[in-house]
Amino acid sequence: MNESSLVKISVLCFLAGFVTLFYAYYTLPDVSRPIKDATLDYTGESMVLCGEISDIRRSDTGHLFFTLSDGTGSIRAVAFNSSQVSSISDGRKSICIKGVIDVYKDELEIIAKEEVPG
Amino acid sequence: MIEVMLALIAGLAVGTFTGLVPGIHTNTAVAFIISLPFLAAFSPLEVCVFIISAAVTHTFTDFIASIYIGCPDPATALSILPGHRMLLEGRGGDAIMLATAGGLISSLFVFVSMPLLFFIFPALYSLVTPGIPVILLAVLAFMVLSEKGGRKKITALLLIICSGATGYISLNIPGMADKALFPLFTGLFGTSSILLSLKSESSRVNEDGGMSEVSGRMCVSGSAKGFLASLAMSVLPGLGASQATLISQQLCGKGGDEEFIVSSGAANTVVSMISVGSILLISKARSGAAVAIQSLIGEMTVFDLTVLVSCALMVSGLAAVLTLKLSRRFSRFIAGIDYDKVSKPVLAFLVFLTAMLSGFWGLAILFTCTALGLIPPLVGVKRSNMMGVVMIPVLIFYFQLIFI
Repeated sequence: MNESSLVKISVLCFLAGFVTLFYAYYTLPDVSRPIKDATLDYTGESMVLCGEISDIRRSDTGHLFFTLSDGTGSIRAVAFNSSQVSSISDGRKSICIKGVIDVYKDELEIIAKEEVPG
Repeated sequence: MIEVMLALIAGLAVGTFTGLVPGIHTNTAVAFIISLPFLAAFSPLEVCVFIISAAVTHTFTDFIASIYIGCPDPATALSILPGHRMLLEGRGGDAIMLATAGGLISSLFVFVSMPLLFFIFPALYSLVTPGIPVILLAVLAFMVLSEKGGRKKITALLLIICSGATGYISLNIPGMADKALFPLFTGLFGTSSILLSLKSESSRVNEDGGMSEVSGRMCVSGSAKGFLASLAMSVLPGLGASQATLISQQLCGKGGDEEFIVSSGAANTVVSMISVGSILLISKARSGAAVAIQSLIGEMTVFDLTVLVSCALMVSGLAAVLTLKLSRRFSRFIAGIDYDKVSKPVLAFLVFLTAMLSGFWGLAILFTCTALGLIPPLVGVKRSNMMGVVMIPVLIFYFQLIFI
């Protein structure tokens, strides 16, 4: 083994790491996080949260507002299209949603993009 | 993903800096950097990628400071003597290449074995935790008994006790808990080696910056030994890279200096990678960087771990190439220089650095440890016996837990 073979192994390491990173980002199933993890640090980030649904309110424009709670905390959620969270309309009490963490009127919320299996 | 790559590059830059500058541990830099307000603009995972990239890069570049300047940290302390010997033979570049090979090959081992570690690690952890004091005592007994002859065995035992007492007292001086390690290891393994090399007749370094061919099989076996030793140490609370290096030194007994440097490089890198994995596997953070990651990320998921391990592997590749390039520059710099002329300013620099970082008590520890560090080579016992400096305080900690 000499310097050039070490450089080749280095390139191999880099490529193996890069391919795995790519795989993780684009193909690994989304993993849900406890609601307490949804903090200001994650503003703008995509996240999957699961929990009990409460305080459901539907606006005239068809937006759906509700609160999601688990044992660790609770967060306001909004779905701009209620078909994104069809389980709520079906009367389910708990749900897992993938959405983007956002701040609205100084309060954290998750903007639901889609419903995911729990 | 672009943000993750940027975080990785930033970690590479910081890890290179902390590795090359003696006395700055990656934990210190990470603690400072994560307190900076601009980091709020990044997601916790991106900050964690930055931390692990800095920590892994540090494990590669710190061998340059260890071997060329003689300024070790706990993880590289034992490699300093064989590394120094190779430097004086004009093979400092080879020593760096061996340590780099160890770090690189072992990071591949960690990457490949990570799925398996999911099953082994938690089981191993619950199995060995209750027996840590016994394991430590067995390692210490092995160190003493591996010396040849009754007189050397007694000397080794006395050295373990003296270094252990020095470590325990130093770490318990008020305000010195996090400042004592630098003078302890610099004295025991750094300044004492430099003083001894000043005493030797020929000390001109004939570095040509080149790196020769080494056995690939030896590199793989050394890395495997370092990997296994680190894996064993990673499940034992209170133990880490320095003990892993000690175990790998015993495993490499017949392999000589070269294999030991490879395994030392491997142990250093593996511990920093596995300490992050242990957050998910056993819910324990096993290093300063891992504690920072745990505090940022909260509950780690498989996705997080996959991202962090793949980034650690990528940064290993980059750090290895960077270390080889930097080593060439260092070796050309000291080529043909009379090592005496370099050693004296380096000694003065280490004393100055100790005074700056650890103050009066740091200097007192440095001088005591330098005196202690001179004994093993002069009486012909292994320098690894001075690892009692960390093993005895850990042992005392566990006995206090059991009996008090």
